[in-house]
Amino acid sequence: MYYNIKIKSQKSEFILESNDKNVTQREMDIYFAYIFNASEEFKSKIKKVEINNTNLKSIEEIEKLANERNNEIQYSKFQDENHIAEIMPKEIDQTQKNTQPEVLLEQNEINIEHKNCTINEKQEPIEQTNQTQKNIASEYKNYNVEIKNDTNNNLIETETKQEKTNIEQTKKSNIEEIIELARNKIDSTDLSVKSILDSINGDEISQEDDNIIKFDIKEEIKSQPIKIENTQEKEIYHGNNQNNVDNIFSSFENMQNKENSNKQEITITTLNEALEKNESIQKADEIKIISQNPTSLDNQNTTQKENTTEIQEKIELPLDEIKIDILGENQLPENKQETDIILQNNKNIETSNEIKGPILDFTLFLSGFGANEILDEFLICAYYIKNMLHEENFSMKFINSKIFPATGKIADMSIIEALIREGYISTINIDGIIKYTITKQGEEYFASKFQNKT
Amino acid sequence: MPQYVFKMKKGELEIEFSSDDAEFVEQQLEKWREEILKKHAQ
Repeated sequence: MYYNIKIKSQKSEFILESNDKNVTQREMDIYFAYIFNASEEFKSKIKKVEINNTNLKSIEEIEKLANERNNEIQYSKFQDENHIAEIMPKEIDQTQKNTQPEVLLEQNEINIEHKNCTINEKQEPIEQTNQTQKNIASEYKNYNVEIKNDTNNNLIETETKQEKTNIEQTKKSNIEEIIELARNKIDSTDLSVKSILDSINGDEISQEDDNIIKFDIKEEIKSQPIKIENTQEKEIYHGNNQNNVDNIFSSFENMQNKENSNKQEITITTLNEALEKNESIQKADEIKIISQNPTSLDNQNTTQKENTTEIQEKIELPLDEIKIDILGENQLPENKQETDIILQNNKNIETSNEIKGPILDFTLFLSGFGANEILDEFLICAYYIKNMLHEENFSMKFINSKIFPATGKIADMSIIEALIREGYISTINIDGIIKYTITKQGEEYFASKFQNKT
Repeated sequence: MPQYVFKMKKGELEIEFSSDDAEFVEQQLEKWREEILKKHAQ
C-alpha cells in the first residue's frame, strides 16, 4: 500500500509519500482542515466528491514529471522511518524576489502545516519588507488560521504582533525550529475533522488558548440570512428566524396546492349560492357543458381531499347537472352575442349598481376581464359579491365557492392577506367571525384596472 | 490493483491524494464528504 500526498501551488510543490496508513490519515486530516477552513467560499463550492481510478501518477512519475517540468526545481529529501517528504521550490528569480513575496508566504504556509518538511538550504533568503509582513498577516487572516506562541518569539505571531517580528531573521536561522514548533502545536491539538468542524460551529475550541489554531468563522455562518424567492407569489423572504422559515414552508404548501388544483381536470358539479338564489337567472344550458370524464369525480374528490380541506368543502357543495370546464379549455363565452352581453354588463357595472335584474354568474362575470392571477380574480369576485350580489361581506368559504368553479383555484389566507396589505380588502368582525369586504380603494383599483379594458 | 486519486483545490492551492488502498480512500473521503454535507445541511 502506498499513500501519496501532493500539495501544489503556482510556485511550489510538496509531496509526501508514506506507507503508514495512520500517519497518512493524520496528515490528510490536517491538510483537509487547512484547506477546508481556508474560506467559506471554498466550502460553499464543495458539492460533490468524486473518486477517479484512472491516470494515477505514481510518486516516481510525479518526481519525474517535476524534474522534466522545470530544471530549476531543486528538492531535498527528508526521510525518517515512515516518511519521505520533499519540497521542490522553484529557484527564485533574483530579479523578482522583491516583487513576489508570496513565495515565502507559500512556503511558510506549507511548512507550518506539515511535519517532516525541510527547506532546501541552498535556497536564497528572501528579503523581507513591511509589505511582505503585512501580506503574510493578511493571508493568515484570510485563511482564518492564527498561530500563536507566547514562549518563542521566533514563531510567527498574530497580526497584532506581526510587524514587530523579524521574519527574515526567523526564516534564516530558525525555519526548521519554527516548523517543528508549529508542528508540535498542531500535535498538541486535536485536529480531527470532527473537532475541526465542531470548532467551526463554535462548540469546542477556546478562543482564549494561545497555543492552538483558531477558526473564527462562527459569526459568519450564523449571520447568513435565509433568502428564498418565491417568484410565483412575488414575495421574497429574508431573515433567519423560525417565523420566516414557517412562512416559507407555508407559502410552498400553498403553491403546491394551487399547482395541484390548476392541473386537475375536475368535472365539478356545482352551482354557486348565487345561482341557487337566482335560479331563474342562469340556467344550465347557459353554461358551457363539458364532461370530459364524469366517472372520475370520486377519484378527483379523493385527490382534492388530500390537497386541501377547502377544496373538499367546495366539492361537497350540492350537486347539480351542470358540469363546468374549470381549466378554461373551452372558454366562455363562445359566441359574439354572448360576449357582447357580458361586456355590456361589465361596462355598466360602474354606473349600474342600482340596476335590478338578472345577475350574472361569476363565471361569466369573470370571463369578461381576462384576469389570470388569483389576486385579481379574488378582487373581482369581491367586487362581484358586493356590487352584483349586494352582499356587504363574505367569508373565505363563500368567496371560494365563487372562485373555484370559475377558475379552478382556491384562494388561501396569503391571498387575502396580500390584498389587505394593499388596502383593497378589509376585515369585519361579526360576532367573533371574521369576514371580509372590498374597500373603496379596492373598488377604485378594480375600476381602473379592469373596467377600462371592457 | 485499483488506484485512486482525489484532488481538492482552493484558488491556486491544490491537494492531490493518491493511493492504492481503496478502503482507506473510501473511508477518508466519505468521512470528509459526510462532514461537509452534514454541515451544509444544517
